[in-house]
Amino acid sequence: MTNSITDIPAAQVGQVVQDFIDDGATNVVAEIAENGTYTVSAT
Amino acid sequence: MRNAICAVLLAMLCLSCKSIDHRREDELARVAKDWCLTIRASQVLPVYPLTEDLQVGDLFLVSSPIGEEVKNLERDGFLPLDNVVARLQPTGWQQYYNSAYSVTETSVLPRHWQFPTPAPTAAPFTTWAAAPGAAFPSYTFQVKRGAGATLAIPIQAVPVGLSLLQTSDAYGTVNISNASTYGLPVTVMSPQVEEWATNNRAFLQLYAPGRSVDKKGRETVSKNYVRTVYRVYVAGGVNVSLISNQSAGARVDAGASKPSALFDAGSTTEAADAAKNYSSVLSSLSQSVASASPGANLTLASASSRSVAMNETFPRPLVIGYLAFDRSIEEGGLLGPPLPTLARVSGRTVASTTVVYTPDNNTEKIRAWLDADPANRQKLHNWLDGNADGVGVAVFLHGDSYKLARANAVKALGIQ
Repeated sequence: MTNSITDIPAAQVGQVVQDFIDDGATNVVAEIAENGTYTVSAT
Repeated sequence: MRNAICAVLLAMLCLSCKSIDHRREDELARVAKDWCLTIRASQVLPVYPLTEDLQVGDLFLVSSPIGEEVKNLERDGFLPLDNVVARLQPTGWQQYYNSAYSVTETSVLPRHWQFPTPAPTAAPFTTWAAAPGAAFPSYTFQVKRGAGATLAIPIQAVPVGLSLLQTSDAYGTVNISNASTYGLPVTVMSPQVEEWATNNRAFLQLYAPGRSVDKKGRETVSKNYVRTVYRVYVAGGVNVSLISNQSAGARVDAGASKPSALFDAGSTTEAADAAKNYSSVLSSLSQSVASASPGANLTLASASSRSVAMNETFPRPLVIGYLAFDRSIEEGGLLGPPLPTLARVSGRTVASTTVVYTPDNNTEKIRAWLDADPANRQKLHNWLDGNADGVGVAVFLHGDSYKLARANAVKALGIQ
């Protein structure tokens, strides 16, 4: 059961992670892609 | 007086017939459900009845409310596939399978395995054996005396086996053999569905959400969905083993009874002769079965006086299950994000979602509204449960495919 958001600009990663945490996610992971954008996944 | 007696007898006869009909209907429904539960146990939606004519890229219009679909699945074991609206010819096979399974750039699936060119001149007439393999658990069933010996699945080995055993009281096991699967990921299929939707916007607009107000003044929204098949499972045949429950007691036959020709190990004395005789009997029985059931490809694997095992091969593999995703039809005929059908109809939270980061003005509005009052988060969750299949808030705020849903939420929740 994982929700993922891809293609996130570096400057916005913190906000997306915070949105996941505010919604009750306990395990949030941010990964950087080859093109420099991030994917944030949460369970 | 005589007329009254006749009327009573007629009424009793009608009630009796109705009762038999209902009992048979119940029996068939139960067997069908057991079969479907076996397929569902493998996290696959069952196809009932089995068909060859279901492919990856088939689009169905689903107008039943989700609650009704859940009830249908629980009651019958399968979802009706009665409202097909289109068949896409998906692309992207070669890249997905990386040229394995004999898939090339020009391959059209499943035609590539179903009707190979050049056409084989001897069995097997398909090349499904080259497709990715699959396996399913075995399925057990029981046929009781008087409940009808017709199995609610298109397997001819069962009635033939019952006939060989000269019984209508048996239990058996069905093993799905030569199962294969093929499909495309949602990320490859969904854009192709989007392209189809763009070309059929006028049609989809007819199925935009309908709003109604109930007696208590609450507004309810009824949505329609486009269901896309993105993976199917096919079976090349079944192995059926039947064991007679009539181990003791006399058998009463109505009409002319045929002598049983099944092998009885107890009547042979020499082991070598037994094996030879067994092989000979099996061969003659297989020939007898083949001549008695034209159209069915049945071979006997083993036989004794109490049990029989048969292998049945379908002329061409049949689809036994599938996976699909649903996209809601929104205002203007636009499609919502893809949500897995099995998770939706199983009542599970649709959580495994991947979206592309595409926020808009409504993202900021909704976040500010959430921050203004902690109680607003629960209001949003309630709205998402009813209008966006309970998706998480973070995905809803940022996902490209939730742009329309965000606009609807701003309007429905009065967010400034």
